[in-house]
Order: sequence, then C-alpha cells, then structure tokens
Amino acid sequence: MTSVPLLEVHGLHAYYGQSHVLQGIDLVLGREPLAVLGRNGMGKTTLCLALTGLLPSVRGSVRLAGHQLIGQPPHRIAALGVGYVPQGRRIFPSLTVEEHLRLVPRRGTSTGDAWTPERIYALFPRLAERRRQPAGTLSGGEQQMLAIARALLTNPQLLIMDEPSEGLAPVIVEHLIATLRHLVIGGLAILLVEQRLAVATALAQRIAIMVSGRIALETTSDMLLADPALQQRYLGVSAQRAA
Amino acid sequence: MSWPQFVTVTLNGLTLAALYFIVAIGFTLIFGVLRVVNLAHGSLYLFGGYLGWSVADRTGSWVLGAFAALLVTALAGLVLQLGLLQRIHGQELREALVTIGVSIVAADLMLARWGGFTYDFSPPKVITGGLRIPLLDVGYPRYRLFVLAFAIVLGLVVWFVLARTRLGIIVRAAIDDRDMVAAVGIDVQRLFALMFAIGAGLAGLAGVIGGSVLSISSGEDARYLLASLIVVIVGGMGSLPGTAVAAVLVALVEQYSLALFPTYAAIVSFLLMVVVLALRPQGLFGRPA
Repeated sequence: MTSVPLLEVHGLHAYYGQSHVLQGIDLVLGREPLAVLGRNGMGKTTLCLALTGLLPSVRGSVRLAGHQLIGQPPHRIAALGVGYVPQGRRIFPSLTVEEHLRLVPRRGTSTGDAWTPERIYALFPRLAERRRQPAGTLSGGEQQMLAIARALLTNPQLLIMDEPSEGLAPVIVEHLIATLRHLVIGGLAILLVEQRLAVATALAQRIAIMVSGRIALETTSDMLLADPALQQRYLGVSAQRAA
Repeated sequence: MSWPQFVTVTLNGLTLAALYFIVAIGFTLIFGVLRVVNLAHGSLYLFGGYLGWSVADRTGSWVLGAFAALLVTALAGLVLQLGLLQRIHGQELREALVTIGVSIVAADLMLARWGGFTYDFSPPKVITGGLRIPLLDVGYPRYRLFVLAFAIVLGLVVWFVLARTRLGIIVRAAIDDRDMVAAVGIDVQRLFALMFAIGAGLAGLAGVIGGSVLSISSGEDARYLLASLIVVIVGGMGSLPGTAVAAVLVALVEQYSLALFPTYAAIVSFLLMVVVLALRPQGLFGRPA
C-alpha cells in the first residue's frame, strides 16, 4: 500500500514584485527530515514564506497530507499542521515568554498528545526559568527555543525551520540539533533550510540543494560530506569552514 | 498670569488632553495593529457626534445617544474595513486616498443630513453645572472634569485589556510582527476587522463626549483628525502611554500658548510636532520602524 506523502510540492513558483524567485520547485517529504541547502540569495527563505502562505504571489501545488495549501491564508495553513520557525527567530519583543505560549490558539490533535505550555517547559527548562521575562531580553539561544516552542504549540505535523543555527554559539547549535533529533524521534517531520553544511547533515540524511530558485540536486548527507568538489560547486565552502 | 487664571488654563489643558486622548486612542490602535493611517477618523468622530445628538434628541437620553454613537460608528468602521480597506491592505498610498475619499463623501452626506447648524448636547444633570474645587479655590464646569475622569478610566481599561487578556497579547504581538501572528494560526483579518470596529466606535463615542464639551458642527471632523494625527505622531504611532503623554503635552502647550500669546498659539502645537519629529522621528514612545 502506498500512503500519501506528508508534503508534496509540485511546480512551485513565487514572485517578489517583478522578480521570479522560485522557478518550479518539486519536493516530496515524508516523516524523515529533509534539509534544503544553498548559498545566500538562492530563494531558501522565499521557499519557507511560500509554504507557510506568507507570500501572496505564488503558483503551483503544495499538498500537506493531501490538503492543497496554495491559496490558503497563513492561519489556515498553520491549523492544517505547518509550524514555522522563521529566519532571525522573529519572537515578539514586547511579549513575555509566558505570553508567547498563551498567544497560540489551543487545538486538540487526533492523537491526543498535544503540546501544552507544561510540556514546552519540560522540553526547555530554560524557558520556564525565564517565563516572566520580556522575550526581547532573552539570549539568542533562548529566543530560538522560544521560536521553536511557539511553533510546537500549534501542534504541527511539519516544522519548517529557516536557518535556526544563524548567530548561535557552537555549543548552543549542538544543543539545538539534539533537541530537533528528539522531536524527529517523537514523530515530527522537519524541513530544515540551512546555509551551514554541518548543521544540515547533522540532522538530515536527505539533502536538497537549491540554486537560483530551483532544486539543483537531491543527495544524501553521506555522499555530500564525502565529496568536497560537490560542496565547492554548490555551496562554495568546505565542510571544515562551514562547521 | 494670576493664580485662578493659571489653574483654569491648566485644567482646560488637562480636560482638552482627555478629549484628545479619547479621540486618538482609536486612531493609534488602528494604526498599531493594521498599519493603516485612517484619515476618515475625524469623520467617524463627527458622525458619532451627530448621530448621538439625534438619538439623544429623540429619546431624551444623552447616555443612550452615546451608546448609539459607539455602536453605529463601530459598525460603520467594520463596513469600511471589510468593504474597502481589506482589499487594498498594505498599499499605503491607496489606503490614504481611499480614507480621504471616504471622509470627503461622508462630510457632504452629513452636511446634507444635519446641515450647517451647531448642535448642543444636554448631558445628564449629575455631570453638568459648576463645581467649586476645594484647595485650588476655583470654580470649574463639572462636565469637563467628567471628561477627564472618563479618559482616565478608558485609559486604564485599555491598558488592562492590553496587558492582561489574551486579546491584548494578540494585539501587542500583532503590533510587533503581524505575519508571525498569522503563522501561529490566528486569523489576522478577523483581528483587523475587530480592531477597526473598536477604534471607529471609540471615535464615535468621542464625538458625543467631545461634542458635549462645546458643540458639534461641520468642520469638527478635520479638526479632530488633525488633533489625533499630532497626538499620535508626537507620542509614537501605536503606543498607549505615548498617546496619553502626547495628549497632555499637546493640549497643555495649546492652552498655555492661547493664554500667553494668542496670536501665535495656532503654530505652537505644530512647532512641538516639528521638534519631536526632528529629534525623535518615531515619536516619544514609538519604536524605530
């Protein structure tokens, strides 16, 4: 029996005014994490915005567990099960940690094991310690935890993360990857958009490389790590420097 | 300035500040959440004033007039947002032109309905008449003190809702980053419609409350739009404390300069705005864009 894949992207085009940023993206994602790698300006963030409904000029097909997402407003897409951790984290500076968690509408899940503020605080004890603190005063790593917590509370089936390692110290990045692995084991599908090869390959075996608004290559972590010429060609960096 | 004159001018300033605050709070809430500069805000004020007067005239109840103004202008705001502004959301020039257009059409329609007359309200007896203020030893109209008290209560209610309720959390989050509010599953179009209705309703209520300080007549729409603009520009668009502080500042400056050098009084509040814009373009309490 073939089951419907969780996320099916077919012929996705996106525009910023006159510029044609995504030029026909095809992607299929199951429960296994997928990392999209690419240099700056290749359209990675645009891909995230198109999938979450935050970019209006989009055409093509994006199906989540069979539901068409193109044309749906962002809050419907969130309700259908797409969580979003944006580039730069974009937490709300004037809200406290606790208020971030109160903000998210509570929705039941079919399985019943919904994310609650209590479960979030158990996953990120640091956030529990800081619950009354304005989010703008948190450290970068804490803000990243909060951005993930905010997305988890929507009880997503798929978590889209845009450069979560950006601006974080190496030890914090390691902790972040461990957390994400833990979530993957818990059954969460992750689409990770990254510039850093080491972060992408640490989380995902499946790698898609994006060049100029298209998926140029689909490969695996092992093959990419074993082939410096390939890395040089698509990412322009060596694994050592990226780590 | 003699002591009684000083006290009277200061009280005039504070009560005018209260009125500016009541008018501007809806304007700043709409701007903060929707990023729409609603140039029809003055029309909603005037519409609320006329409508409240007509209802009060028919029913003999000022309170009923005030409630009717609040509800009907909230509804008018809802129609304006859902019927016109939602379609052009985010296109600032179009939003400005559409709201100016609405204000011109509304001004003519109201002139046709209510004419060029001046309408006087008669608020309930308990809040009218004079009051001898103890300690300060000056007489002062009771109604103007009511306006001051009303503004303080309104400010506290809005503060409480913003600080303590889930709606307030959503509103503050939307002022920070609307897209991320949508991305956690909140229908921002519904939030926008609700905020527009609240802001418009407050403008209409202000029409009755402000109209009862002096009177209501055509032309008041432009006057209070301008006052709202100056107050929120000085205070910082979208900030509640900014609106309160700026309302006091603008109204006191206006009243003191009227008393001290009446000839140049009109330019002083603009001067204040220019100075604030030059030193702090985001306003006293605003965050840099």
